[in-house]
Amino acid sequence: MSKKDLYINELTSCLKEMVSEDLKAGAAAPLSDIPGGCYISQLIVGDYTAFTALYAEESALNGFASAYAKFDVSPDDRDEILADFLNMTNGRFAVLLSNSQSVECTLSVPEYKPPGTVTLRSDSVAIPVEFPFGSICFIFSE
Amino acid sequence: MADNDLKILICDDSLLARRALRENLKTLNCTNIFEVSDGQAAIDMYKQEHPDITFLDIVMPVKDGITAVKEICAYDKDAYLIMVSSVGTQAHLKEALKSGANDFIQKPATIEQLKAVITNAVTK
Repeated sequence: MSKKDLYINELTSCLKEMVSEDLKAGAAAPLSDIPGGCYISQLIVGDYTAFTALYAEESALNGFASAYAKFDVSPDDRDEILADFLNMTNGRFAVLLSNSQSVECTLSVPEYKPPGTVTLRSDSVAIPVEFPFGSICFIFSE
Repeated sequence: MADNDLKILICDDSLLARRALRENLKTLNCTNIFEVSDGQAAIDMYKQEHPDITFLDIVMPVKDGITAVKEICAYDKDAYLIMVSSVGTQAHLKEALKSGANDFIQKPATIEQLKAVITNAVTK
């Protein structure tokens, strides 16, 4: 299994365990640009490097943050909660890589809401996930 | 020392991680808890409050947890420091212990893990 497929499997597991079983994950598809101001990203760095991010409409981000935190998240705290989800998912992925492939990685500090349109690397894929509160798009590139 | 006398410092840039750790510690009768969100703030708070147990994340803004552990150990060789990270690999465990941490827990920390940490801190 490729590292990308491992990541998507781990992401799906984390979403079901930590956010909601009520989801429908779409197929990964290439993505070139996303609007700025609405997404959070984190790099996986070390023996293996990957870019991860999530973005969505404001209302879906609010719903996702509250579903993950299990309490009503205030607008001021929302992005920190979303970054926590990325961090937990990427941490589990890093442990999986270490245990299964002896690939050692760590994580960067999450980045919040870069301004302007963001052009992604050419190998970036988007994994759309539908929840009752809206659609969240997860981005991954190696 | 009774558990509820312990002074505990939590250092994590994640609001959710701080909240979860605080709530779990409260169930263990630990209520004297201070919170900060970066490594430098942890060092400053440690020097101010001299906590019995300090929990530190690794990846944080301003100053990471490994650097903070080294600086706290240099200031107080008897500091009781626990690294708590989402990346619970052997490499991270070794790095944490080498830097001076007493133990390492992968997030999310369970009640049982915290109970063991408190027991070890009280009996050391």
